[in-house]
Amino acid sequence: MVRVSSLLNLLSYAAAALGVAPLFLYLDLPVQFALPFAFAAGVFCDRRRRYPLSGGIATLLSIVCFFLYAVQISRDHLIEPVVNILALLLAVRLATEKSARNYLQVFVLAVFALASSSLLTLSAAFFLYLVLLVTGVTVGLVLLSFHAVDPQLVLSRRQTGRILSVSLILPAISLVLMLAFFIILPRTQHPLWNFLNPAATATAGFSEEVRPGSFAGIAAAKEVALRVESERLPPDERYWRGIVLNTPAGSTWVRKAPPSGEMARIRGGRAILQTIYPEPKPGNYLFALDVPRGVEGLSSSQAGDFIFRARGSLARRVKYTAVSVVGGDFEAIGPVDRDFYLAVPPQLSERVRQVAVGIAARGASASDRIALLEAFFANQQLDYATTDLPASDDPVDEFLFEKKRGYCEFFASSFALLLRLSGVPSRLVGGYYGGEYNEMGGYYLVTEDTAHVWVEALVDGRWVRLDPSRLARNAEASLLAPRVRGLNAGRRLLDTVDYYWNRAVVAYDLARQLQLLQQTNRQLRQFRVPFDLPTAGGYLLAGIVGTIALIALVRRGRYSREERILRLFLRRVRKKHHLEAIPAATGLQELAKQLDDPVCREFAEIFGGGVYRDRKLTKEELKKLRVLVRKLR
Amino acid sequence: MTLLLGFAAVNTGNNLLYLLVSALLGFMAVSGILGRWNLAGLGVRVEVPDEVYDGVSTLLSVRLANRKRLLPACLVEVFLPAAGRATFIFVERGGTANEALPAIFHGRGIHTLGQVQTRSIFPINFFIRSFPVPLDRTFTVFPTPRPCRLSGEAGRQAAGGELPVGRKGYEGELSRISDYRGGEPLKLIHWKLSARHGQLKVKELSSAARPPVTIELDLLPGGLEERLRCAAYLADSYLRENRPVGLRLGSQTLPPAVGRAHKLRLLTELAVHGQG
Repeated sequence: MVRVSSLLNLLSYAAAALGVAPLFLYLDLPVQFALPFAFAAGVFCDRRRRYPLSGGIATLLSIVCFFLYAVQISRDHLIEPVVNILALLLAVRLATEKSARNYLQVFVLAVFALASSSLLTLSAAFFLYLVLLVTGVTVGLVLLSFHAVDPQLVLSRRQTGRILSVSLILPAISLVLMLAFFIILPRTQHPLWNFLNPAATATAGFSEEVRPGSFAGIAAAKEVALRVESERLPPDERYWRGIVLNTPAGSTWVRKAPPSGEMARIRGGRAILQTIYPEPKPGNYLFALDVPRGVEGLSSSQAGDFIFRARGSLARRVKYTAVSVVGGDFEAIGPVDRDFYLAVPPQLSERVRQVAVGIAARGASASDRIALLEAFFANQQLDYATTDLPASDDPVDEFLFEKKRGYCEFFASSFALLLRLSGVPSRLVGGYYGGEYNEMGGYYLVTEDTAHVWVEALVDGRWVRLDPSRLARNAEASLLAPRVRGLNAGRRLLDTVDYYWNRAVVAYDLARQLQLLQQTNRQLRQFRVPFDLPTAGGYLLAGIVGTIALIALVRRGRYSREERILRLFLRRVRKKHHLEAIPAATGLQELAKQLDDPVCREFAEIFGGGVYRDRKLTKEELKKLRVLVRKLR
Repeated sequence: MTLLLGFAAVNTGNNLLYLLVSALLGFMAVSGILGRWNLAGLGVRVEVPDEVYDGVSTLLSVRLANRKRLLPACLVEVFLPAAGRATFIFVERGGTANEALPAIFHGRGIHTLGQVQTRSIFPINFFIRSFPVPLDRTFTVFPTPRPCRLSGEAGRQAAGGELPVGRKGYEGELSRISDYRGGEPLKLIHWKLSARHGQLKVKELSSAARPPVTIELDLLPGGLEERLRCAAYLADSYLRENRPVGLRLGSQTLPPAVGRAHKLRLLTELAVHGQG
């Protein structure tokens, strides 16, 4: 035997735990302590059915908790006090005696707690909590209706099982409907309370300036930077362009507005369409495969050096599409401000300047000088490393001649400076290099630890990508290999889940809604009824036959085999003997006797032999009965 | 709650809140449908006892049949306007359940249980759904028997000779011994005496029946209702003594007889007397 109130107790603990779990880490320490205590006290008191915390004291305690945090509420500090209040109210409710009302309060508070957690984190775990909580609360509400009829109600195990399985219909269908409602519920373009949503977590890795020697640190963690849906790309092409740094200021490279009138175009090559989902972070540079020709789907501005910046913040989840050209010519249109792209900081060591002078003297064209500089880099036996780095005031000199080790920033900034010194206009490009293709999701996952800096040099009026880091002795092992290795299988799976979650749920907005609507519209418009009569007639006929078959199938399902044959028999008898109706109480034998029909008598004998002895008819018997019914025609 | 969360969802544009609101909306829709399913395919039968007396508490038997093929019927209340409600916690698919429902009916005559309602809060105790179920079950409420004193004429004996007192029967007490005439059942043969007399003797038993009586309503004391109650009382008490009772209601006469069917007939006549 199962007591309904015991089941309700269990469900209320579960609902409370599921509601609070996603926001537990955001609660104040005292509240974090109070919750497990309240759980334990609740379980203990429910078992003993003695509650030291009476209703009056509990209400008083709730009011005190409420005011304690309510006074902390302000426009900038809104969510935290509210979640603490919710958690405390839930704690008080758990520890007190549970009436029908109190169970309901626990369920409502748990739902609100889960709802408020969405204002703190947008993790995909929310969905799991949601499914479990909806299941728990709906089953709880069903049991609560039994509790309302009789609080002491005790059910048999069998009944409990049946009631639980019926009540599980509720969450099962609710969750399916949830998906439909989610798609059609109205969205607004500019939510009023957007400030309530969780702020993005800032991740290190890509930075908007390059400062070799100050070890800003390469983000070692494999945090997601962006996800890019695109066709498969060879590893050498996976350069994700973000920012052009065109001005060295001391040992730091920064971005200044490109010279006015600078223009460029991309000729030839292969266009590659990408859909890009950047992780929220500060800054507004839009990344795309090198070289991006255009960005759509997000309000953005384009600079002369083909750098795209979002007009809004990227601290929320967004997506955009970009078209990039691989293997094309990135041509500068009109004269390039050479002085701007040849400027170097004054404090450069003599050794460095000498190298440049030598290259400029030996190489006549830009491409010759680049080749000479590459040879110089190769000669210097440089290592790609992230530890024991040059850290002096002149990191370029120290990198090239002393330590001979560094990461991409050292390679790129030294290379660009030497190019500039030897008279080749150049600039640094910041972005990511690498990315692993996720087969399950069909996207490239670009992580923060693949942040990279390379060089663009102007050769014969065209900007050419050069990656000096590849000139390191250990480039293959240290630079290239780790960038395509990606995540391990488990994390890749989690990332796929996260990707779909962000794509399908978190980033769903008015634009997507309209897009879906248009798509449906288009598909409906494209749907044409076939014009030729035979085909149309065929469809119509098939439809009618299908419907009739379906109805017959449903009707068949309503009756057992025995009932079906009996109904058929009675119908035929009525017809044959011109009877208006056969009273339901008339037995078959009696009927056969009254009608004096041998077929009826035989039918009654066979049918009665089975059904009235409480067993199903055998196949042979059914066959015989069918023959008899046919004879009645 | 859904409205509040929906409001929050629209204003924050937070898709997680949208998801939650969608789930709640879905839940509301499904609970409505499940509530309707719960009350579908139910059959209600109310059994009224044979004898129901005006103003006297009686027990109705309410039978709920769940004809659904898949779903059980949960928390169904059958509400009878005249009696109150019977609650069925759980009726398995294709199953039936009985509940006794105390009821008191006022006023003699033919009563109808015109329409009952099946109600349920299932699945969620926020709304009560109800369906009317036509019943059209008629039954007769008899006048309440009330003890009354009997004047000599009112319950007069039937005319002598028509049904002689002490007529022969096959039960009751031994009245005399007589000779076997060939038609008596063998069990009546008095074997001992037959042996002693050398001739078959049979026991003659008196009929157990008491002398018949006919109740004449017009001769009973009091107003019409009182007379009817008195007649009901008399009929009941005579029939308990196994005495044949007849009834004369104005020009209509019911000959004296015994038995349960007769009793119900008498009481029915009394119940509908003067009601057209």
